[in-house]
Amino acid sequence: MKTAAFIGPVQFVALAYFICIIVSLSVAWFIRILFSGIKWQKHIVHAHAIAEKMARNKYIAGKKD
Amino acid sequence: MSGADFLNLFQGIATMVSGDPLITAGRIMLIIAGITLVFLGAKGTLEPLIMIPMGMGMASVNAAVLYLSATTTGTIFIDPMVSDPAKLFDALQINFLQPIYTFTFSNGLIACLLFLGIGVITDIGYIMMAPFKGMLIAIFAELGTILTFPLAVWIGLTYKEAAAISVVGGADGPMVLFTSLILAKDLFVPITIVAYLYLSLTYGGYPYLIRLMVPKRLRGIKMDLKNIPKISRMEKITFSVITSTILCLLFPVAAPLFMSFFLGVIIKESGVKRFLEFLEGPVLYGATFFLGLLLGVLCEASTILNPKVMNLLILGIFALLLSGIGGILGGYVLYFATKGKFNPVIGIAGVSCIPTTAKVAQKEIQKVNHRAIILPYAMGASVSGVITTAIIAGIFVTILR
Repeated sequence: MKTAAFIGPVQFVALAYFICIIVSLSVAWFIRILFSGIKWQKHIVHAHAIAEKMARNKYIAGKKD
Repeated sequence: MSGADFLNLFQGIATMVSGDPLITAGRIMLIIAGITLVFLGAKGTLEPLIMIPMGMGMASVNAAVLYLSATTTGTIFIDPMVSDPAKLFDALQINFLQPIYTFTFSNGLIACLLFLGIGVITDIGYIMMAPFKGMLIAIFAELGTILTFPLAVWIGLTYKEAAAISVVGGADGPMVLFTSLILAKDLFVPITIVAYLYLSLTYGGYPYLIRLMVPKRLRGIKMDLKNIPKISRMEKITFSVITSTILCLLFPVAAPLFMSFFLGVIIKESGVKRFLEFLEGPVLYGATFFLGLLLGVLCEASTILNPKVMNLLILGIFALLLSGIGGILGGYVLYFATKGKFNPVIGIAGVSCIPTTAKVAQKEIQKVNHRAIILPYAMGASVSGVITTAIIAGIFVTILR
């Protein structure tokens, strides 16, 4: 209330709107980050699976030789 | 048997005849208004879930005024102004709706129960599929909240009262209830009534605004539904837990609402069937019923005939109108940003009256192009609207409290 008493209604509401925009866009940005993180993790898991498969194939091929 | 004795037998009439003429006129008007709301609700013109109990409460409470002592009048429904503990204890024993009012309404619990129910019926995945678009629309749809505040201060309301009425622009009933309870307890009855009355009118009013602001050829734009990402339950739960915690950390005053909403979402996504049935049935509809009934009962002429009410009526409709305009402007910004691939009508859904505005948008679009489906995008904007309204209410409450 002290903060609001020092500024006029237009300035006060502009400040509130500015904070609202920052926080809302941060939430949207967080969702993006969350998705990228999950995608990245999926890629790593996928890459691990491929690497394992290749190593196994190499081992089998080596045994045959 | 004299006339006075006869009137004492029927105290509702006696209090009407002997009372202040202004209050008597107010009582008669509110009885008529209550009966009208019941019929409009039953016909489906206004939201029946709120309007039927509200109208019934309004008509009954204004008819049932009696002599509590030789000089004082009142009802045995509720006493919203009682604060002295001894008197409150008496009121709890006498007024039949006082326990519900005291233990669920005046502490904001009913708003939290409604948010739990709304969380359970909300698919958070809609906001997660296009987060920036949804948030951008929701930010624009707060235009009513932002412009109403200075106007309200200009016409003589205090900062706290102005903040409480301007939150009507967010079109979120429980949020208005919560904010006005904390910031403007003396005006929370008229503010909440104005809010719910107008919110039920959005269903009838916003289609005209859409037709006025969006030409027919733009209303028929089809949205891309093929490239919608699939969002897993765990992703939705992760998002809900983290967002709720961060928002509670930022705005502790609005934490009960954030927690209630996201808890509802998590219960839905976790598939806890027993909780799900309990929250989307008894809790949501029970809270809605008692909210409507209490709002009606609180509309007693002596409480509602406040000189500030007329201002609140004007400010409320101004806020909702501007928010609708702001939402559609947000839709236009995305329309131009995507080079005509975004339907601007979706903007109206940023006014977070879940799911009414999203349904209004879908309905208006299908009138022009019956194959166009925009509901997922509209619901995303609506859910974003809930979040932005909660944020702005949190800011108001935190700074002004």
